[in-house]
Amino acid sequence: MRIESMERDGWLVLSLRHGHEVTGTGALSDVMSLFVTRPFLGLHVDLATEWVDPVTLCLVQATRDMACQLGRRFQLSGRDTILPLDDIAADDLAADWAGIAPVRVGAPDRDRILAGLLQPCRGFFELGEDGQAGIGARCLDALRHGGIAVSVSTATAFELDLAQTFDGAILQRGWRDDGEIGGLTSLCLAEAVGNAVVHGNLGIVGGMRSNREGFIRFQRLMAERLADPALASRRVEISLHRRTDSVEVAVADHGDGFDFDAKLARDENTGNMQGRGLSLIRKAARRVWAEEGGRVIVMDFHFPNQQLEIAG
Amino acid sequence: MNYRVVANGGGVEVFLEGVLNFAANDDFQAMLEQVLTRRSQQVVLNLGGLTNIDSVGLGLLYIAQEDIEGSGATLMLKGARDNVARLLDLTEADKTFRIAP
Repeated sequence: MRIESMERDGWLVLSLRHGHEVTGTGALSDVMSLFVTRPFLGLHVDLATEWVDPVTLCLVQATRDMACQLGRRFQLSGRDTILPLDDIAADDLAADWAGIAPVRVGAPDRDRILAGLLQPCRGFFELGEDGQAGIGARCLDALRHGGIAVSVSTATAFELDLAQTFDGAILQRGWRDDGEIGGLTSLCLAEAVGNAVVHGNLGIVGGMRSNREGFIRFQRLMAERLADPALASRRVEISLHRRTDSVEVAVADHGDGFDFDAKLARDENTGNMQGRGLSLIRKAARRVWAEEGGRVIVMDFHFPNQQLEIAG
Repeated sequence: MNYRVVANGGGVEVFLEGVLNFAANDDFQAMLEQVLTRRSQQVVLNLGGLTNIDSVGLGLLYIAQEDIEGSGATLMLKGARDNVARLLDLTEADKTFRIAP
């Protein structure tokens, strides 16, 4: 990590950049000594890093604590910086920061995921073996543009009602109305997440569940596939971008993808309930389309009565 | 999903709670077995306690209808609200099910 310090308008500005060693214009202790001995108005920590690692987070907390103990002000800023917080850090550091998207990381449960999607945080990431590198670019892009995102394993998406939790966050944030149109987002999300888990990540083909015996076979197959760590750890991600009077929600999986147009045509022509999820989404959303060979379904929900404040 | 079976005159009313979706566990089948072995003439599935449903869950309701009506009984869906009512409406489920408010 590279640490640089400068004085600006009576503030001590500390700039933190990623690197393998702590280097720069004096070690952190020297900078802090400077802050203690001179009457700065406050301490401004600027994170010039895309993703904050645990060491940097500790430094941020330490500098914030010191500024507070001295009765001075503390500011934090970043350049599209994602700040992963565990439960303790999220409670401790909750604030409105410029250019920073705080997200919660850690073991997933419904309350944690919801807390991660609500102020002051903007996402929840269940980190796997590949750490931050496993989080999809679409999630990070949503955070950088004022949206919210969640990234969890297939096992988690199966256990928890991810769609309802995400929709609850949209509603609590006031990004969708509470009426008939708004309520449809929950249905669409449920369909899209179900497709991502079952057909996408677990690779189970449709058409099995037309009778009770078929459903029992389907459940057995689900259980077998979920017991396979390689499949169970595949990610399901929901990301939301805000537009002026709509929200665009994408659900991504890591399966083999599918021919969206052909599937939609089949769904709309089918006489029974088997595999009608996509046509349901098409009825409820203003627009729906697929990207990345069917691994991402994007839904556009129009809320004419919700003028959304777009983050800069 | 959880359920509770209540005898109701010559019939039976089943109160479903929670979420009926792709992750539906064995409970739905157990419920169906229980209902079928009672040989009731009328079965009411009370959906008032369901908070969410998807097309897999709806598919389960279709399976339930097939099995229950196959046994000579009648099935009625009752009390759907919010998302569950929206899904039934969107999929024109009233063409297939008897639906009561």
